[in-house]
Amino acid sequence: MARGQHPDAFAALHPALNLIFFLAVLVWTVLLRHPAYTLVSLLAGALYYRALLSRRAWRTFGALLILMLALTALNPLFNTRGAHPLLTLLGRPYTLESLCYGASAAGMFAAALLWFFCYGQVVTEDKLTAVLGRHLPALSLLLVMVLRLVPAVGRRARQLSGARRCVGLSGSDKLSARIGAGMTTLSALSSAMLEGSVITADSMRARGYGTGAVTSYQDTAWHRKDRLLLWAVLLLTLCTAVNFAFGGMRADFLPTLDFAPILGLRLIPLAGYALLLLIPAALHLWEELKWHSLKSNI
Amino acid sequence: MALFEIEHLTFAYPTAPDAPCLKDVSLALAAGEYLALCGKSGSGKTTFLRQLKTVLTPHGRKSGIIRFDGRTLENVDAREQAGRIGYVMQDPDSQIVTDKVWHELAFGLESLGCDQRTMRLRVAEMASYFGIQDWFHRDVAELSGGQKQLLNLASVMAMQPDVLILDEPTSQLDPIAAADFLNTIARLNRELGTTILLSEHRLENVLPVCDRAAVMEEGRITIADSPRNTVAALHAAGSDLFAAMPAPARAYYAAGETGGAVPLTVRDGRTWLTQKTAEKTLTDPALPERELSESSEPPALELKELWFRYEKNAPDVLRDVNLQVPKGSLFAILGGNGAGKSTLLKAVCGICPPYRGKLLLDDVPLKKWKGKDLFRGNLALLPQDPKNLFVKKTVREELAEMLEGAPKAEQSAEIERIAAQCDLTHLLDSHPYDLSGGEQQRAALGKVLLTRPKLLLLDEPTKGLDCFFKAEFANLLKQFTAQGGTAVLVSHDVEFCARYADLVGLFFDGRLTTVNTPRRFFADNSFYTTAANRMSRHIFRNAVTAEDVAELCRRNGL
Repeated sequence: MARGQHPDAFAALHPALNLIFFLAVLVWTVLLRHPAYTLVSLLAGALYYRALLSRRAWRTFGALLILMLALTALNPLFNTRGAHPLLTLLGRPYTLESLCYGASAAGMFAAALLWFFCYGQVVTEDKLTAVLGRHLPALSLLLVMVLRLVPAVGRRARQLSGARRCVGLSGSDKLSARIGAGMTTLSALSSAMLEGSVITADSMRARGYGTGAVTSYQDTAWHRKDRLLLWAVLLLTLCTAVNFAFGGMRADFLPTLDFAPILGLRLIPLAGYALLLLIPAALHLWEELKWHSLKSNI
Repeated sequence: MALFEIEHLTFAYPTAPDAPCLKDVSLALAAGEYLALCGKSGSGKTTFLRQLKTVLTPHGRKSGIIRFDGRTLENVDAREQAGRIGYVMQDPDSQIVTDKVWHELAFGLESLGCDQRTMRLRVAEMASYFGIQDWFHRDVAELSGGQKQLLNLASVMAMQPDVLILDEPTSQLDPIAAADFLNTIARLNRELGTTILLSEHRLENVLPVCDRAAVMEEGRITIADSPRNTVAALHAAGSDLFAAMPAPARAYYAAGETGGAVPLTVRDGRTWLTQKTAEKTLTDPALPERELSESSEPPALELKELWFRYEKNAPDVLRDVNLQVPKGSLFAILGGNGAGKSTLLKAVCGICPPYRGKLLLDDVPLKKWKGKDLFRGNLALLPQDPKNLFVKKTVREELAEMLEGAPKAEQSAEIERIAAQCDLTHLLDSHPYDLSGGEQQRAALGKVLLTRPKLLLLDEPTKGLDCFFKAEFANLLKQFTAQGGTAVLVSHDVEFCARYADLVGLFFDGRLTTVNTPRRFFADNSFYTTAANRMSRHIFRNAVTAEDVAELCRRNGL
């Protein structure tokens, strides 16, 4: 996929909105321990991940499922608290509560991972620096330069060691000799990068860097849709926060399972939370449908 | 009115206060003028150009006056200088600051605190003018060298400078990208009226289009005149800079012409030759061919049906390569960018092992060689960037690194020998990074030769070298082959290969298409050939250098 194109409708929104959304989702996913909320996050995350990656997502799902099962099963081995022992293993009780706690933690972990993967697909580095650039241009430029430097160092290191190999300077099999050769390459690498950075500094000053106030090129603008969705995200987050403050998501696993009941009015915040988390997948689906109908009209 | 006026500028670096690098330089650059600055590496061109922008001026003792737009340069504040005086340097990669093309275009404008509306417009304008739209959102790391340099130019032009100063901008580019770049410069001058001051050693692309050519020799401007007069003056003075002039001009003078309009382009050269030979019958339109001697010795390197690809599902980079390099020859492989030339060298070095085919070094399969023996006294590769071989603080230590384990006395004797051979004796205590491009190339070659290779591989060895260093470098290679060594070089440099190689092959589409002696090879080609051949092919059968053209003129009594 070429840069400048976006993987989907949600990613095409204002980068700041993308960032705020993922921040909110990750915070709530880690904070809310109630199984219903964990389940919502897990499902919504999986749905959006599937939307972004289509078939390639299944492999990740498989890996995550194994990870979750392992974490769940392992937890009671380390934590023996809980009122209902299911069996005795190596002389230690293997309790139901601990098993549930493990499942909840594993679900939370998997959900957070999924959202992180989605974040990686949606918030590319240039979006991050674009958002930072508006408010912290110096920090943003630093980040940009570091992002450029890291792969450049790798490329240069490969060139250096390749060049040395072809004149017989790293052919030795002895470990000490190889460590020595590595150190030499490293020192050569630092002087090569230093040399380059002198030129970069000249190029920056030649183009007026450090001569006064700076601005930041913004390729993005807030559209009506962005603003609307921002309000939605903020409102739904607030709603979740209020419910959280009043203990609507209370969940104790040990020594006995004790969850805040989700019935009647308590369903509203859960629905709100689900609504928040489903925004990207819904946008994605909506766009797919729109294109599908457009295509069939052609 | 002159945009830049330089009067009696003298400059000395603090390390050598008594040997000024610039001596009494006076030059005026008119608004809208295109001035080309020629001179050998180390003649002070870069030092001079850097005086014209305060932030880039090196420390040192300076006298004389530089006026920009009627004011002394010191009185033009940094912001104004940043906007109005554009500066493009040699290294395409290190000049780039940010990681995205669009961001790089905007960088100068951001630094100058330009507002959003103007910035968007300028960036859009520049991207459109330079044809960057298609890679506007790309990572700069994905760009080719030519694209990077074009981006550097565009990002300077986005600030709408009055004058553009370029310091050997094409030295790291292949000939096609370089010609594109220089055409863009000429277009900027013609269409936007941007004043251009360019130092360059690819003069064949510059002299026909510039208004004036100035010559810098040992820190002085010795000539500043129209391109034709400059060429004539250099010839009259017997200057060795004349060797850097376009081939048609060299052929013209070598054939004994004196006055008249010197041809600077292939087209003018053809016209001149046509007129010269009109109504005359040529007795001898071809130079004698050197016959390829069938040697009974096994070839130094033999490739049989070699195939290679980087990944299982990737396309083949080497497809059925067959090659025989005779012992003691200088074998040149020409070819465009991305044709797989460098991969071929890597295959020979065992870095890119072929999945099919045979690779015989000295009649022994490559696999039979042990890594240590292979790169000690048999095979060595001179990398494209000589800096990749430098790891120490002085050239002497660099050379000594190759001799580790040998007795001290033997080491210093070897260092002396190789330093004399590669003309490094006066540079032995310098830091390798302080050397000029040509000197670095020599130091790297010295280092490689210390492994006493029988087969020397060279990856684009003439990149960034001016024609004097090229000639010196060719001499070193000739010495090496005269002593029984074999050299294989891959290159874009048609003129260099035509002049110095024993055998030339064209690499295209993953294989070697033809192999022949330079004369036969270039006489058969009509596009991919030297300027001298293109200007004379309608009359002479196999002239590939300016000297050949002159020789044939003599033989035919012209």
